[in-house]
Amino acid sequence: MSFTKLQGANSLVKRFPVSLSNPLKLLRHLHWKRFFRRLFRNTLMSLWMYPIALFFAVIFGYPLVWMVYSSFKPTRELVKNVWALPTNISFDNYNELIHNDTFLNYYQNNLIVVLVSVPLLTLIAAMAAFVFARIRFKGSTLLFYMFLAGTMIPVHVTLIPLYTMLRDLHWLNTLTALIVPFISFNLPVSIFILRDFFSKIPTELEDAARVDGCSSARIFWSIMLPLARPAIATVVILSAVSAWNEYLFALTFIGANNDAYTLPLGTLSMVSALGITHFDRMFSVLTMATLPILAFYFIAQREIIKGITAGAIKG
Amino acid sequence: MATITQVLKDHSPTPRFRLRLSEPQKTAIAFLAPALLIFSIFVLWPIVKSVRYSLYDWNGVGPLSDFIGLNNYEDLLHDKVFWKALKNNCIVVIWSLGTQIPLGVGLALLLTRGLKGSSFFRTLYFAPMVLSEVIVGVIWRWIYQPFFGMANAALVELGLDKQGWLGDEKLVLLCILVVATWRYLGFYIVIFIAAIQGIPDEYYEAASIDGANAFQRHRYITIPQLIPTIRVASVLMIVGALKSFDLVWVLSQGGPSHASELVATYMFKEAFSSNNWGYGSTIAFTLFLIAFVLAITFIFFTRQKKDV
Amino acid sequence: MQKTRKMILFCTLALSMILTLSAGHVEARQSPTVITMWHIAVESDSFYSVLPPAIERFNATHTDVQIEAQAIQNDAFKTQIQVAIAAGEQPDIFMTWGGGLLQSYVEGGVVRDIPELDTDLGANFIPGGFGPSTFDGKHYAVPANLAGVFLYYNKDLFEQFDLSAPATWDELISSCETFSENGIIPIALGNVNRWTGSFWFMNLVLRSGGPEPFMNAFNRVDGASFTDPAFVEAGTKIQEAVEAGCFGEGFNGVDYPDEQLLFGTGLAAMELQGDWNYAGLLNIDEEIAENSVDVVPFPLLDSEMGDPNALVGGTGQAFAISADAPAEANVALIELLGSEEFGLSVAENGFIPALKGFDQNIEVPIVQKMASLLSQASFVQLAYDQFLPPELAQVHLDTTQQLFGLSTSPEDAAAETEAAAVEILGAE
Repeated sequence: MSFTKLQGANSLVKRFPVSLSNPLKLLRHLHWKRFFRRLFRNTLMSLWMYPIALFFAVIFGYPLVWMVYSSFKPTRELVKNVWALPTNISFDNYNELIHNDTFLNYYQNNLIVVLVSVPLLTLIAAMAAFVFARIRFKGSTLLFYMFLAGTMIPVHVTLIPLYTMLRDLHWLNTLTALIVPFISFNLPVSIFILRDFFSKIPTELEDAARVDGCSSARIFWSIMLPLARPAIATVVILSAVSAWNEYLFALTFIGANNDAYTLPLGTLSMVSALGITHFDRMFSVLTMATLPILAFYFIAQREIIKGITAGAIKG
Repeated sequence: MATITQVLKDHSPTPRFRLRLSEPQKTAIAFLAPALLIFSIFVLWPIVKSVRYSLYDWNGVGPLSDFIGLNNYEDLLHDKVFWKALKNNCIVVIWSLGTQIPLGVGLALLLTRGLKGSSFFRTLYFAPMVLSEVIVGVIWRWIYQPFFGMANAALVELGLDKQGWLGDEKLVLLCILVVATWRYLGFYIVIFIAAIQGIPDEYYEAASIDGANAFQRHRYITIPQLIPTIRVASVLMIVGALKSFDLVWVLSQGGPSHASELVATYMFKEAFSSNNWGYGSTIAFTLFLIAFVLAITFIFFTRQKKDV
Repeated sequence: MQKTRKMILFCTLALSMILTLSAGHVEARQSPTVITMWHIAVESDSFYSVLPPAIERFNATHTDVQIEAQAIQNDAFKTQIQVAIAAGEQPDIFMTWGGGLLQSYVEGGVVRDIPELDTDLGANFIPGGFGPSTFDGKHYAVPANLAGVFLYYNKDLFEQFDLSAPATWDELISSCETFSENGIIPIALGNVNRWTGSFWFMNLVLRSGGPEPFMNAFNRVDGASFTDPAFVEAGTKIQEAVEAGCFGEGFNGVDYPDEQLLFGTGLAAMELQGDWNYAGLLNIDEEIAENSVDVVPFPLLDSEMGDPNALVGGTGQAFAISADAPAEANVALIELLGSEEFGLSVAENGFIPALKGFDQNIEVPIVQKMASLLSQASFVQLAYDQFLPPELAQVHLDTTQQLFGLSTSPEDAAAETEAAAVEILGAE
């Protein structure tokens, strides 16, 4: 612990060659000319940097802002001028939506899928990852590479056979038809993230535990899992976001049961139905469908960004 | 710490060997079983089954009876649409490499220069990543809508001619790629930011002392240090291109006239719209082969690197 | 080891949890015969106010038979019914448009015929409604409504520029030119879906060659083929219209709801659509739909040539019965769709009933006009994409979209369709 702190201090010392311990000395040491030159250069730099950063901020942010304010516009205003702000704000569309059982059902289904598949996936993946990281046996590398190759398999390849299998299991058009394939296809990436973390945990603790007579299972449960909390968080976030947004399995396996629709499928069905009857509802549907995930994102953005990128890099 | 291992070695030379063979191995089997079982049943077995389907002429109605050997594969070789789709997949890769890496590195550099509000910008750039591709697609379909969409409204404001966007065979793929970049760029920016922050400050200090200017510092320190990350990003882009489906499906369904067809959308259409389930499986398995070869190559290269 | 066992126990528990979760959807069969049914009248669909209430009425008045209906959104439905049939899991009753797809089900033994339609039970139905679902003299589906495709136009916009509803192709093109000069989209077309553009192609074939070219090419008789001059002519006319700017830019990337929106909000002056389109127009802007919209038959290519009473249409929605459905399904379906109440409800909701004697119940003047045009029709051309085998239908839809996109020539499109026809239907 103290070691890392020391290192931090060290790099600080390096960055400021003048000792930090004596501020007065620091002041005396400052080259004023250089200070102003730097200040000037920094403002000049930010003068061209800000416009670029802001330009991209508009590109990334505006479509979302636009989606939200368009949801308050009636169809007529929408087609007359897409840019314009709504003339008066009415929550009627939202009011209708939150009382719309079909739409609420989409939400509920999404929640069920996430709440069931994420913990199961994490547990199964963690167990496998632990074995790959800690227990050597013949063929373990081969097995591991098999999972590694799994990250590259496009889901579509298995769509047709998977459909016939799910039919034989009588899972079609139920949420199970989403959950089980989702877990299977997300195992590889989760295993990597966790294996990577497990193999970085020092072996001393484990060795000590073994001396005390702990079984591997016990070591996994009481030592490794608690230590791997950051990696588990990563896996949970990564899989929760992708479970929330899953579309292809939903389209193919539950398309025939409106009661089992999840948000992506339901949203699309609501905004592109033939002979669509409520055009102005479209943007409120979109906004309502994105709101929870965006809110979750802005609250826990640091963890989410970490989770999603870590998942990809290790995968 | 060292004492514990010492103790271990001293106390139990033979039992330790035994322990390794029996208890952990049992655990290994028990712990691997669920993952292996699910993965084999729902990922590996379907791949085997799709190979079987690909050898039949099957319209999905009735039993699997019309065995035609490799005929489907032969047809595939002469299928113009398939080659077009494959070419489009390659274009997706080239575009991703050509735009997302420079833009990603550029913006990552911008956000690591101590700009006020960097983390705000980073959060915003990354936001599209958490949205479902379906919703991203629907939003952008409205932006591209030729008659009342935002893109054409902007062109008119600028005094330019309106465009057909998704309806224009020459533009449609580009339009979709712009949306894909919009959604994924934030992700690459964040990866590159992490990589840049991982470069030791000493390198830059040393360079400054040697009198290197900002451009030279990036040219000779940042970029070379980013190479491993760029390599990872490239692999992700290639795999991502093979897997992409949702966005294209929502934006154009591969049309018009297959101009934005990808292998995945073509497979889906052949199986589910034209009822060519056998042929659809042929496309699917070919897609798998391509992915598999890429995966093996990737594993081979990373492994070699470690060995060296 | 104990821990391991606990873990395994936990996993089993978790797995069984999902299993029960799925089992929850399977309901035990109760004493009345349950007939499952799939239709496309989801909440946002305009048929929603017709079909689900009818099923409710049916279930309330029957104790021995109950219909358990499932609404699936149109696009998802096409995929789902396909996969369900492939898996042998089709519902007892399901929506169909008839034609080649239904025929493939007939040949595959997926559906059974409905001989009751030839008895008194079926006497109420307009015979024309059986057309797309009758093979070898046997009926394989019960129609719920009839459909026709007409040229919708906005009276106000036409008046504004002193134009009258186009009766010939040249008038159509010249009015298009007037509209585009004045910044109005002449014709709304959302051709992402491709069947929308196919309406133009079919009407043009019908106007230039009558019903024979298509039927003969399909039946592979009389040396006919899909390279017949009528098909080439249709392609040429389409490209003429595209080049004259009739559809604006980018219509190949617009979807059907947007097409409806363009015409329904008065941004576009014309739209070639089925009668069902009107219900959507009413929802977009009631004022425009009621006061400014009118329909005419598709224009003639030449005022001297062709039969204005031939039109594209046929059955709207029809329902087929799975071969392994309970025996009661046949009568139940005919009772559901053949009741007086059903005909009335179809008419009152702005659709054309497939039952005799309800024309006067259609309160909406435009729908009444379309119904009478349909009943006077000398020939009703079924939509190609429903009539042809699915694989060939896709080729037709693709080549037509290419014609609209000017990326193929009329001759090449015809040749490509013919090549596919030879492969799928066989040479003559």
